[in-house]
Amino acid sequence: MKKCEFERLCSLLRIEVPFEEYSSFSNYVSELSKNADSLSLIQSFHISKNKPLLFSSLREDEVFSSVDKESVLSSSKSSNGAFFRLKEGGNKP
Amino acid sequence: MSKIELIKKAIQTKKVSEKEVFNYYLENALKTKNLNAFISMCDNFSESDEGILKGIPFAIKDNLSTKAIKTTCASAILKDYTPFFDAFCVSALKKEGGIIIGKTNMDEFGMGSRGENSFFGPVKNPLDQARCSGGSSSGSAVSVSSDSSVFALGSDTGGSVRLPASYCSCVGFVPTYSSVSRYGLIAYASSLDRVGILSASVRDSAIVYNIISRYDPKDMTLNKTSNSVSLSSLENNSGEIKVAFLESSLSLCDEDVIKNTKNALNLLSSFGVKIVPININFMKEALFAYSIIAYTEAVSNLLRYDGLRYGKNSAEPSFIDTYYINERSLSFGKEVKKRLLFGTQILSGGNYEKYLSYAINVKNHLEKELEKAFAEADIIICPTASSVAPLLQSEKNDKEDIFTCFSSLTGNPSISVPTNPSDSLPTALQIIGKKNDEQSVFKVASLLEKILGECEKEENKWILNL
Repeated sequence: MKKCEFERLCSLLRIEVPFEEYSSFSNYVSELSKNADSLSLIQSFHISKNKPLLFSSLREDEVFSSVDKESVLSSSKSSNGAFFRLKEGGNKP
Repeated sequence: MSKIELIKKAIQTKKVSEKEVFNYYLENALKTKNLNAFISMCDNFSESDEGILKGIPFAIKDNLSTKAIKTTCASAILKDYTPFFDAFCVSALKKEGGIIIGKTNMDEFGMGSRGENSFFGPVKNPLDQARCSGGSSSGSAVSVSSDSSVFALGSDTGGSVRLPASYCSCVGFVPTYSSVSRYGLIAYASSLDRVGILSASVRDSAIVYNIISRYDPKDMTLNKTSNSVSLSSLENNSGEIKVAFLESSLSLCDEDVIKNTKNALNLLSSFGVKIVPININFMKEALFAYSIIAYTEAVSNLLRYDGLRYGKNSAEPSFIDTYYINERSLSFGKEVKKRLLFGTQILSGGNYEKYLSYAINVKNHLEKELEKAFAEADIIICPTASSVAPLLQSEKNDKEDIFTCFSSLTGNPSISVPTNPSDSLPTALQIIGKKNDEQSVFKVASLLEKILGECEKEENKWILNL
């Protein structure tokens, strides 16, 4: 990894660290990159773009089974919250 | 044998008082202060509520929120943070009469596998102080192993409960992802974080699990149906359980681990457990996939720490941006910064698709691999760690968490049970179950513990500090 790229990451993260201290980090990134490139299995699974990637361990029914939709909707009516607006059909003010 | 039940019985029959039990553990914690297991102690005793854990002192990893007790995540940026609420699991244990004895040291924000990355200094292994205690729930494992608490809560993202349990010779259990509420657990990688338990015996873990796995509406990812474990069936050895042993794991292990693993398998087999060899592919890739998912999630979870509300407050508040940069640079440790940099690199344009696709594919493949294995057996067994506890400050070995990472990615329940004879450093076996089948995990773990306990009696050679 080039120093300028490293500095860009630091500024995104709002931290300041010396480039020299993080040589092992650069090695790890390139090792991973090689691994990801060489692995042909990338093509073998279809990833739906509609699914949130980071929470893909949960099935949709697992996520929503814990939420009593009706009670959320009714409790949101009084506070005029997002669920209320959704139920009424749209995100109008 | 359950320590919780023994102590409870002693209190009920008035052989000891709650206060005497509390003082015993507090004194032990103070005697072993040099191990650095605790960040803060709760030394004011007060009578506890009636319940399953009445009078039982327990410790809590310092990333679980505790009302009016500092919760630092072992980071300088949270060193003065005192929550105004309890994490769900903490409040559940308190309601059942448990008494908090202290908050335990850990790797900063759970980032580490050795207990060396804490703002408050490294945690030493009670069995050999030149060695690390494992991480990131290092202080919790040490508190149980050094008899400074009856049990302790930890958290596990890639093996943070099971590794320290293996290195410190105690039981470490993580439930199925989404079966214990994460409300009040300070997030590192939300899709992998799980609350876990460290204890002296399998039965103790099962007792605590039944309490903390109750339904909590505040965690919307939680299963509505409870997977509570039947304690009476743990002692019942009837019913055939088929065990799959991860054969390829041995080629990655040190000599001590191989010897103790083979011995434990032989004992299980001699008790009529059917063991079939299996192999799971993509174990090495799981380490990379774990890093990608955990570090990218950490970037967003740790962005909130800007140093304004908590932290060192050492910088002059001239410009807000300079203030943020100074605070975050001074307050985060080296490992945290490394992981945040890595996560940001992955989230940068162009990399996101490549790396995240890779990680999700590896995860999907692992799910398939486990599915195949569970078609043949009820339980998968492999060593918890590939070696005994490494020396403090020694170079990190890539294989250290190879056996814990893959089941962290898939979210299966697993438990680490000690397998070592008394004259050597601890090693452990990991028992992995199907999702939501905690019962089988505890049952096999309980059987293994019992068999090794029998050996202790027969040969006067084995130790299981139960």
